[in-house]
Amino acid sequence: MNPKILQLVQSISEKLSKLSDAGLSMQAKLTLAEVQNDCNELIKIVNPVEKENRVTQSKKKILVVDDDHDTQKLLRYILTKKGFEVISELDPAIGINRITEVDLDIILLDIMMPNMTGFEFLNRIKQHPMRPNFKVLVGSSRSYDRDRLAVLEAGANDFIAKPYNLAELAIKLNNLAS
Amino acid sequence: MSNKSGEVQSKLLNEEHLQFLTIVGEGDDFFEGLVLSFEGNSSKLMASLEAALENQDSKETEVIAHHLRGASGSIGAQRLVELCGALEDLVREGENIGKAQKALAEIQKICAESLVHLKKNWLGKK
Repeated sequence: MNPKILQLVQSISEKLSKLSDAGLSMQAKLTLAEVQNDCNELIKIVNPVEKENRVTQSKKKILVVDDDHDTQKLLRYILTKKGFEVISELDPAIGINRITEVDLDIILLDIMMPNMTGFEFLNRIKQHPMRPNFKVLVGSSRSYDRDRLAVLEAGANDFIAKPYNLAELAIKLNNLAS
Repeated sequence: MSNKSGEVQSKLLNEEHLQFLTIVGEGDDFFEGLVLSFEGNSSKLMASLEAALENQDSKETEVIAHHLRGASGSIGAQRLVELCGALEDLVREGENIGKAQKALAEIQKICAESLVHLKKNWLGKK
């Protein structure tokens, strides 16, 4: 395998992830997300390390923690269509137990929930003695800079405003999953 | 988006969200199910909002408005999302019940309008 090919594909993938989606049409945003997916697949094929792992690779597992039933329904539908294996949890107090029960790749976490806020959830993850290696994307309807910073400081890998821009959500999840 | 007097001026529906659902969900009736589910749930939530306001229970009002906001976002009802957010802010800031009831009346009106537009212009596209 020519290492130059891997280098080029990785370079294309990095450029795509930096490309702002502002002003793009819906179709263009979807195409962008698909090209990123293709690049990630290509990297897996041409990278000898990834190639070895590919045989055992399965769908990326995502835990969606959100107390809103309609939001859960929508996310399960969209994310399944986008190739994720989705585990839904309406109650964050139960969701926190899933982090060691399931081999997760990503958690998509709401902030404003009864019983346990997203911040408390993040704190519990941080203090977990056996914290598995997953990424956390936090969604919140409070999306001023201070809210975003608070979420990142609390340990999340990324932030997205609610209601979700579904194209942006797909891109962010693909980036976190790759 | 709201102006200085707190009036919501955004578009009724988020077309980008609806286009995404139309493209991704081509060939199935998921979106229709989501809208019909919203129709049933939203009337219950608005009745609960009315009761919470009558009881002057600001915490309960805020929680229900937040739920309705989330559900509205799922079906792309953009103006409804923002009206629910404005109601959440009103009760959180301890505004008088008259303002909150006025906001609820607007929510009820926009909810009905959103459903009419969704059914007429978007459900038929799938």
